[in-house]
Amino acid sequence: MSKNNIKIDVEHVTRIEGHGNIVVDVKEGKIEKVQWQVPEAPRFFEAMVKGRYFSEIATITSRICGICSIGHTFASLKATEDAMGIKISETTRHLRELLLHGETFQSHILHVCYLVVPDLLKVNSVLPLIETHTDIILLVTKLHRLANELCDCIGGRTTHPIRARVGRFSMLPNKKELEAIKKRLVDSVDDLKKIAGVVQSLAGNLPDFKRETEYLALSYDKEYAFYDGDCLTNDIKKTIPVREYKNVVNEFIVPQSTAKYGKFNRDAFMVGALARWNNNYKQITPLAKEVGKMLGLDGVNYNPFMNNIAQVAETVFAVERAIYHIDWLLNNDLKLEETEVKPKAGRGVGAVEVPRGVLFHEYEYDDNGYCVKANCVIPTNLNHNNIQLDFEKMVPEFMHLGEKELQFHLEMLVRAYDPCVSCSTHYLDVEFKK
Amino acid sequence: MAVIGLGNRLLSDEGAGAHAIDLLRRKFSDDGIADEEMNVDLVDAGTPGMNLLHEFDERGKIIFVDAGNCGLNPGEFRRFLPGDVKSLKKTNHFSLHEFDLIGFLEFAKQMKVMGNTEVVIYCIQAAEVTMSENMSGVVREKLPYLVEEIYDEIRKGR
Repeated sequence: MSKNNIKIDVEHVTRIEGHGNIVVDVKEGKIEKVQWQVPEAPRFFEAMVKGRYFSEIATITSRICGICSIGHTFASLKATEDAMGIKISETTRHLRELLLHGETFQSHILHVCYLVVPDLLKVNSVLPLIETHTDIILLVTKLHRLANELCDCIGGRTTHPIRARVGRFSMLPNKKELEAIKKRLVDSVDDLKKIAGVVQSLAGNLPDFKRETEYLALSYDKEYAFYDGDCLTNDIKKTIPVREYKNVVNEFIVPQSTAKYGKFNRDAFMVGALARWNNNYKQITPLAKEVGKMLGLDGVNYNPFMNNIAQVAETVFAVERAIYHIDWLLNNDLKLEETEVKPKAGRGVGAVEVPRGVLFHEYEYDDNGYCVKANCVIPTNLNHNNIQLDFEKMVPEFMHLGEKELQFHLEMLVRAYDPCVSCSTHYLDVEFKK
Repeated sequence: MAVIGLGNRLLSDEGAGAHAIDLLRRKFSDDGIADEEMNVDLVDAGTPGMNLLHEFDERGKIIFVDAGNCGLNPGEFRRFLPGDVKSLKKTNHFSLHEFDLIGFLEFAKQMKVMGNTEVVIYCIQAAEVTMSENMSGVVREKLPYLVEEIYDEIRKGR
């Protein structure tokens, strides 16, 4: 094939496992088409919760996604609590933040080590690394196990937590469990430094690409925002309350995709670890900041591939904050709370930062506590338009590398965003050998 | 020993594995067998992805239950071992959300986390995967038969 002709068509495979298509058509050096397509079937989770009682909603929405189930639970609970004017106790807040950090730890460590590191080593999956980088893979497995057990200890399950309820937790971890997890978290810091060292040794392989965009994340005056905060971007000076999220996300549809896209002050924005870092890095914990700096993330950065470096720094942050919250819980007398919720009509919005970016849930309830309207805005959808614009800048800059390398770089870019396009199907597709 | 039901309860037949765990639990309860007497963990894993990697510890046997496309008529099911099948599922490795149980088991084997755990899979052929908390009529009707077989397998220590 002539170097001036490029045809890339990375298609999704089945109707339920659609993770987006990459389409590039270059004829005689002229770019005819560059598209990031998201062809998944529309999801109607919002319709599913209509008519359901307020106490059931978070359990249902946590099943939307197996990777971000804790984040969905909290966005949902916060929206319901906002609608009904329910305040949570300090204990519940600490438990929720702890659990949310557990999810970030779980997700980031796997994404960086199982999907990004193979890219940096130019192998097609993590499988060959079992032979070549055995110690590191075992270390990742150990860290992932710890993250899982943290989530299990607080949420009652590793995914789809069952103890987090409207206004309270239905069961509390005991002191012994918390102390055991804390010790392992403290010990894990050295392991995380080793992982950071591995990523540092490979970070030079990250593509040299920059495109400044608008970065959207929650912002909270007291800390690097994950659980609390309002909407902030680098294009505005004052935060916008999460209750006004629709004025920020401005969802719209495009012909090539069934997923909704979003934009605010520019043609697109980015959400996720790099957006959080760019907007709030001054508030991140010292060790996380140090790790980010060690990996080339020193202040604001416009390279979307650095999203994965921000994830490494946030993994350290999640562990440091988890230890902080466990200390608080150990130093306070924990009591099971019997919050009596009297349902009432109202509208509420809940937002949290999940591994892939800011997540919004909005519900309206009737007088009896039944949901009459719902809206979920997931971070991956908010990133689609930014991926498209990155593609449009990348293709002319990287097409001289040839079709194969260009395709690799575009796929690597999609992975850098850590998308959750058609989440949560585990469907088998097999044929019998005999 | 564990029975692990996989699938998303919000996507009709895709959630059959999770629903199978509900039915199994009820079956034990109906037969007057208390949790501590069951000698088996019944796990509605939902859509756990790589979190499954840590389910093998000290378990002699794991039975996975999942819905899927296994070349049968809707509602029919089959018991098999991982080596009996070839996965047709293709993933782009874009995200942790992509999951292929057969590929995962190969990964777990190479990671040497499976130890001597025996792995059995029950797959029920899905009729539809659409946004609904309810399974299709045919899968709902046939799933209890699959559960009955698993129950026998547990009780007989097969």
